[in-house]
Amino acid sequence: MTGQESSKGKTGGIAERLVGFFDDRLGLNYEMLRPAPQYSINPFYWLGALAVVAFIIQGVTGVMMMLYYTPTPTQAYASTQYIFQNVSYGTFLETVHLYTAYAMIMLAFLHMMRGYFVSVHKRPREIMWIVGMMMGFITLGFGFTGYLLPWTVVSKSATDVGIGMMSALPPPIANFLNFLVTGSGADSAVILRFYDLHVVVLPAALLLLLALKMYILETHGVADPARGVESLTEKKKGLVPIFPDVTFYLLELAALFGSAMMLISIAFPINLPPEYSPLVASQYVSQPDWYFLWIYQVLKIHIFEGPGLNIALGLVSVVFVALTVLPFIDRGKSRSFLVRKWFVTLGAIFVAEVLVLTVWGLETPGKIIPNEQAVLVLGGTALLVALFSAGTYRMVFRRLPKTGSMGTGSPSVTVRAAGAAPAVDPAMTSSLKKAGLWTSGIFVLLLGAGVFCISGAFSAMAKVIEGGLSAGALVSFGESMAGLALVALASSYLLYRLDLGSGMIRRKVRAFEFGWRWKE
Amino acid sequence: MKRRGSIPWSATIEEIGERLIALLLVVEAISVVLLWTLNSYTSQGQTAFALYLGVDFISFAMMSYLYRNLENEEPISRLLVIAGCLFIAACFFVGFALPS
Repeated sequence: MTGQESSKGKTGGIAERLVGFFDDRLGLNYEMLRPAPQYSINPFYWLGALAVVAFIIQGVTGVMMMLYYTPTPTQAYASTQYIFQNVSYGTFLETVHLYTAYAMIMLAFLHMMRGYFVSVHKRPREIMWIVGMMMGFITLGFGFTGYLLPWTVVSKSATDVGIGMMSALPPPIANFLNFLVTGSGADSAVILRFYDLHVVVLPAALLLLLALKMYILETHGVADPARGVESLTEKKKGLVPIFPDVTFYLLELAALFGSAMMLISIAFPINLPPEYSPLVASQYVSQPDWYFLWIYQVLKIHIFEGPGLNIALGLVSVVFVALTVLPFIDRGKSRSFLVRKWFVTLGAIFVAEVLVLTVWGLETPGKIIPNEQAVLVLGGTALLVALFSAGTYRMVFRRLPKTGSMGTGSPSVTVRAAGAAPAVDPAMTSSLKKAGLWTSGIFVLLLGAGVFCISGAFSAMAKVIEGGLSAGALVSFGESMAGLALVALASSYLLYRLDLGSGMIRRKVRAFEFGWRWKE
Repeated sequence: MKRRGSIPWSATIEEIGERLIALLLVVEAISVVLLWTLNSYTSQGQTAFALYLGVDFISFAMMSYLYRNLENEEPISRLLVIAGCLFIAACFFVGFALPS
């Protein structure tokens, strides 16, 4: 700062001098962070940031609970109960802590899948993707370690299931994990290690990885849209400063998220289940929390019982490893989903299977899944999604321009691309974008509903095969088929509406063509 | 006679944006004051706490949204503003209706 500037600061009012004092020392007005493109002012670009907001809320509520919690098998439950009953806003703290943990896991999953579909993992962001995956595993670790701490019958039984699953891994990995989380194997050692991991090791690791990810983000900037920046308006291609625009936008999202958490906490307050004891545990079905349920449901398939458990764990591990090293598997140059049909289809199948397995797991606690039923439900889901994907690519996406390269998101590239943009009416673009978002959203909902209906139908068929014809199975089958018919009807109507603008399907499908001529 | 400084009924949200921000600031102050009046041990007190904190967050988000759009001279969504105001009113209503 020059002497002239300093003297200016001294002659201003108290507020100005105060701001000047901090600005001199902290460099608040320096351009430390690169500006972000206008198109990134969109909630989908900030799902990871919202997961960090959830982490911060968990940190605050967690520190408050740490003041009263005692990590010993004899005191853990009593101290948790004390928080619920005797601490100011104790139930509220516990509820918010739990629900933000759920939200963090869900947001991390959505962030990962969005990144997968718009292929942000491609050059030069490979390391960023791997760091993000590590952060995702740590988030799951938070869930696993935190779940045990109240020492309830539900949490202890679920953790025992998890520890049992770890023991089935190959010996070097199993030994390391057992040393890390169970120690001598005594309850006191297990809870202390879980507590240590939950409040010290995992937060520290997450913060380190977060710093690394922020550094890489600052180096490469926000990724361009997968379809390329050519179709965007001039305004969308422009840059906005980190402060105040992006900062305030993030604060808005964080406030909305916080408010949603408050409402959910009021609507669904949690109750503390009974304390763990072997006798009480024998009356409960051991099952992990919902975010691990899809893995557990795979392990419950009859073929994976006993020695087959290693194969099941191997399969799940392959999925995780493949997702982690995705940048080195999906090496195509284009980022557009119009070109990456195999990866998009695989991703859609993965999401559908995770959803189906989770809901299925919630509906069949503790039941072994017969092999035929597993093949029907999982195979049927995969087949349906693959057919839907193939149909969409064949009928809808085929004629769309296949744009989208490996954008760096750097301001220089954004500015360069601005020169070649065609003239687009901003109002029309905005209207089309809104229509596109609605259509995509409804399509996703219909796809989800279709997957559940077809799974229900397969499940009912499996029941008939297993237990013979029964009224319940027939009603269940009828309901699923009726639901599927409704979904098919709604999808047809949506396709018809979509086609009013482009006429692509009408030109392809004879029935539509006939209808069009008749109308004319 | 038209009072000096009064707002015409035909005023757009962009025109009254700054006044709306001031109003939201007052709402936020009221909700913060209310947070200190609650019984923190009862379930009703905890519910009211969550409601008023929700009001606080939403008011802040609306203020930030209005400020950002006014500064950048961008249109303000009436739907969002009305939805936010209704949410705040509903939270206050439920908060006041809770048995003490």
